[in-house]
Amino acid sequence: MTEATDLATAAGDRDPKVGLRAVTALRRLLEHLEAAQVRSARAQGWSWQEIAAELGVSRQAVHKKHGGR
Amino acid sequence: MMVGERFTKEARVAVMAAVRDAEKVHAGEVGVEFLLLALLDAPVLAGFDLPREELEAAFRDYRRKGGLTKADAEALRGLGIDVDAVIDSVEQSLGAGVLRPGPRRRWFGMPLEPAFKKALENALRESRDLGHNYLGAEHVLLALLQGKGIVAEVLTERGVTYEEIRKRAASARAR
Repeated sequence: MTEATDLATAAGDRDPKVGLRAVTALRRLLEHLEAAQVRSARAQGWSWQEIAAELGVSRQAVHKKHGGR
Repeated sequence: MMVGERFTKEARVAVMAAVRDAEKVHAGEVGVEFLLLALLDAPVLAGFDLPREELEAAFRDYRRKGGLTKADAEALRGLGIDVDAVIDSVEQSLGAGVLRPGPRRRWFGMPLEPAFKKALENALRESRDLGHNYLGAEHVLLALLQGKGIVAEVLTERGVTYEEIRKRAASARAR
């Protein structure tokens, strides 16, 4: 099998279990990345408003999610 | 019935030790890995090669990667994402250990990770399935092995299987 078809097989794996596991893992990674970036922004003096604008969500949403840390 | 009613002293002590150890390392919450570390000396694990330092290192690596297991990393590789590269680059710009959840503001002691609670619930089911009237280390281990989380991964890598623990649990004398 060529490398290209290998990749295509993995990315489009028909087994829902594989695909869903990847989605779950990606979501967990994303959540941790977001938390780390927000902490860093706050440490650098960014306001919740500025962070929210950058993330494309409301100030309330970002504060509710990350404000308690 | 409440989960706690059937707990053996061994299981109760393990849960308390897990909470204490999680607090000691300033974890954000009490993860399932602390539950396993608290159960390492349980008789049901006798004979397995489970060096504490090695397990602790595996768990640190897991937390450093934001709670991703090797199986998770494998699944992400299927999408073309190299988790190690992502973590390295984030740590380079934001600092080492930045994806490890830190302590949260809290009012009622350290929270248990959802998977921790789930493991205790499932332990009760394992105990019932075996017809036992107590909940011991073996049932908690069975519950942990049934999940597809970090503890199951670390244990199966070292030859501890659900089947073997269940065999041992089934042959244990009634307490």
